[in-house]
Amino acid sequence: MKDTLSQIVYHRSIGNDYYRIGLKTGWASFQPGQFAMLQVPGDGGVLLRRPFSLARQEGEVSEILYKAVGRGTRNLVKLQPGVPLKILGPLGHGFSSSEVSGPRVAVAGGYGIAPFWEWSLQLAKLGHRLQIFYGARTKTDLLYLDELRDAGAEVQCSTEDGSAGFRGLVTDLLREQFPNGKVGRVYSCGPWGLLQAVGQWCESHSIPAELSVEEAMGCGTGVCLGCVVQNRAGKYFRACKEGPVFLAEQLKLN
Amino acid sequence: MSRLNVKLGDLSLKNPVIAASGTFGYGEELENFFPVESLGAVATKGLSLKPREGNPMPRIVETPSGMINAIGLQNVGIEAFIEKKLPYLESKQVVVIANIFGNTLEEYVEIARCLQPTSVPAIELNISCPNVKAGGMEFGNDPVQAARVTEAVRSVFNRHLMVKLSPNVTSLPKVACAVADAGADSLSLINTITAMAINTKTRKPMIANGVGGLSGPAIRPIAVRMVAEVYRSVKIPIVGIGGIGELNDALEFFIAGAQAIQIGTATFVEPNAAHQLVKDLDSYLKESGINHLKELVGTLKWPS
Ligand SMILES: Cc1cc2nc3c(=O)[nH]c(=O)nc-3n(C[C@H](O)[C@H](O)[C@H](O)COP(=O)(O)OP(=O)(O)OC[C@H]3O[C@@H](n4cnc5c(N)ncnc54)[C@H](O)[C@@H]3O)c2cc1C
Ligand SMILES: Cc1cc2nc3c(=O)[nH]c(=O)nc-3n(C[C@H](O)[C@H](O)[C@H](O)COP(=O)(O)O)c2cc1C
Ligand code: FES
Repeated sequence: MKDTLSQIVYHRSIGNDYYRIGLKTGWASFQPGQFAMLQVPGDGGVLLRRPFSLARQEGEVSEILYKAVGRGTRNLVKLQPGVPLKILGPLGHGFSSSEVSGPRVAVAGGYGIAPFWEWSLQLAKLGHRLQIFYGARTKTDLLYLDELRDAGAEVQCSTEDGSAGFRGLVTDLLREQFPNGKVGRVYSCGPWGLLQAVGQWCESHSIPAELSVEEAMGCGTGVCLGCVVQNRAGKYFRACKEGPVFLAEQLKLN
Repeated sequence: MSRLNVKLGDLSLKNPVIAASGTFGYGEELENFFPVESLGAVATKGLSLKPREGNPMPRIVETPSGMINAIGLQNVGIEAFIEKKLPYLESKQVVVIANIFGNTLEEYVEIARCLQPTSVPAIELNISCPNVKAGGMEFGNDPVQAARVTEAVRSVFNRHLMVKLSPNVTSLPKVACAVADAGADSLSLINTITAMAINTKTRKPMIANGVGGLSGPAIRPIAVRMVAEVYRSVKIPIVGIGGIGELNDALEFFIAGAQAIQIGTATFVEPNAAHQLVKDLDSYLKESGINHLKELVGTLKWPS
């Protein structure tokens, strides 16, 4: 974990308010699921940094995939290559590299796909193939498809409107593919509703699952206590420190 | 850096920069960024008699140049603090200011009693808490209640007693005088300002607790004004807090009358903020030919 004054190397729109930004951080590597707090321009009273999953480390450059949704990210969109930006990371705990018997399955929703690019590559290096189930609202919300396939992952998509792949929810696609739940381990990143459904399905089949949660974050370093999630005993844990990846059994899913 | 040392009454700090309560954990979290002992002192997360889980989520929301929080004073409790957290700070030889709060006067006293036999050189009394026995009104809201809790803690803790004032009052100088007369050694101000942000789609408050405390640059002008006013009304040292991030922000507070300052929200944005400020202050004094920080304190030229 360090605070780096990086420089924007590339920054491009990939349609539908999604952007890929490459920052020269000089970081060696990260564990997929880890994130960074990125400085965003201060116009309009923006104060805090914004959390984003780290999607890829290639040489000295770290990539983030983001959607422009509010004040901070809309300001970010305007920045050109060459602009310096502070980035604090890699932060938190990512997906675990534990031994697995059976298929390794990733379930992603929307920009929750980001960590699975690097994860596919890292697993491929170890001789494992990641099977990705990727759900989005519509075809243009499906991102990184070429990158994931090049990384050696097997990708199956679903869209809510049926414009690409399976029509419906990604968890329905998952159920259809693995009716008996014969899966080694599940990694998931996306909106809370998705994580809940994935966690519950895994629990019903006794599949170990790792869920990457998204909570509002003040600091990313564990000092503000603004990002907590609850376990089943009602105790709070910091998403930025003990997470953002948690074992499903550690989380209160309903 | 002897031009930076301060004496808040009997409490000596090597420099005037203190990490504010609730924004620096228990001092260990940011050890990757700078040595904690480079700061004048560290104020711990607010400590209660029993551990507290805090409020449900969402707990924070960003607002223009600030943020509102309602963490709900989540903390490990005084016992676990002394057993598990204090040893780290002791090993670093940094001045520890234990920030404490209670729901009743008796709770405040009990926590202070627990701290008396430890090495902790100072207590910061957070009086921005509802007094459950007095209908939930904040202790800090009423000069009489504020003085009563100060006096009670004073009687069981014989080292430095700093009282942290709530800005959510009609007359801060009145509370300040009452607390000073009741035996406080110094005053720190301000705590967060009660605030609310609303989601206009759901028509619900943006944080689960409904209201929360505003902090960050948005509150700085209010805090500066309050420090200037309190400085004119009391004799004991003042520690300025509110939206301080960089050198010029801190200078405003010193000129207004603060002998030391605390850095809160800025640490969320720049983990290194407090450490950087120590260095910048030193360079500033050197370059401006000011021999010691105290030459700056309270030099405000009020309009005549
Ligand atoms: C661990 C983690 C990983 C993330 N990874 C990605 C990613 O890879 N790509 C991506 O596009 N987004 C990601 N997000 C969400 C991203 O942080 C928010 O979309 C972003 O902060 C919105 O900022 P804004 O200023 O545009 O929105 P505003 O609504 O103006 O933001 C106001 C405040 O709310 C917070 N906030 C708003 N939406 C969210 C949200 N969904 N989650 C958390 N905080 C929020 C902001 O950080 C800011 O403090 C991630 C969030 C977390 C916690
Ligand atoms: C997330 C958060 C938690 C805080 N927790 C405490 C606390 O436990 N006790 C306390 O006295 N003040 C607490 N404060 C108030 C700060 O110590 C400080 O008085 C206030 O934030 C104003 O300073 P700033 O603008 O530099 O943040 C907290 C502030 C924030 C933002
Ligand atoms: S974001 Fe501040 S503690 Fe997690």
